[in-house]
Amino acid sequence: MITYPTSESLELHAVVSNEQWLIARKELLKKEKELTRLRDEISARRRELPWVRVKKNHVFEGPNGRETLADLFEGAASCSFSISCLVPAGKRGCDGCSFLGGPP
Amino acid sequence: MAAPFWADHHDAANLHLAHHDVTLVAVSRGTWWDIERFKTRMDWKFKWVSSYGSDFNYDFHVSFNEDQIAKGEVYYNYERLEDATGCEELPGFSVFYKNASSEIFHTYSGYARAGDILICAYNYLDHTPKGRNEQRTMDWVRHHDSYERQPAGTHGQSESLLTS
Repeated sequence: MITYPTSESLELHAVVSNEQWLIARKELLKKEKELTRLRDEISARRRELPWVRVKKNHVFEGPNGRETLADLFEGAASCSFSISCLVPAGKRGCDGCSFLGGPP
Repeated sequence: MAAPFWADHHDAANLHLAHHDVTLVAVSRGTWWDIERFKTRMDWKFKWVSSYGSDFNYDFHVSFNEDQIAKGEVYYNYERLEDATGCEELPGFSVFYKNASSEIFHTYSGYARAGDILICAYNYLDHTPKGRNEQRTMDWVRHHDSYERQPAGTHGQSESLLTS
């Protein structure tokens, strides 16, 4: 688990000169650049993943009535879905995540 | 609270995605009527559809049926959950591609912290002294219309993040 600083702990935080700060910042920059390159590499590998053909004809209900998965692309080549925890009434959503059945 | 927090970022991304060959759609198992009511309250503009009665959420491993939960056979984020008693669904996102012949392919799904990078507010917080400033993931997050009016540090400290 990650522990984040508090207002109290930040009262004791190191304060240094501009010159010393720049040395520390450049050290961190090396790691940031590693992350940027790693993220680029992971994004490339994500694009290279093989695909699976969707055979089932999923149907959704939306502002245009009943729509299939193909309809939801609306002319674009890629379609990204975020799947939210808004569950049917009477069903259990994630803890703190369900927003049906009363005030938040 | 993950999903509403995440959804708050959809419209901003969509200002550009919609012009770059990508359609962003939110899906929930709630009924269309429930979705529309909540979407109006949150003032969200992105397309949000109901998968009520469809296998979609189950096929892409974000909803789990009673049988799976009872048997402890809930698979999420590509592994079996140790404790699957908590809920019938968890957040995730999936990407599909439609080719020139209108065939559809599933290209990617991400779950759990794979969604971190899509939550822009977290990326801002990760650059500030207090970081995400939480004990438990998103313990401070509320629906955006449910925060107290004046956000403030406990002792008047504040953090500024300037952009240019």
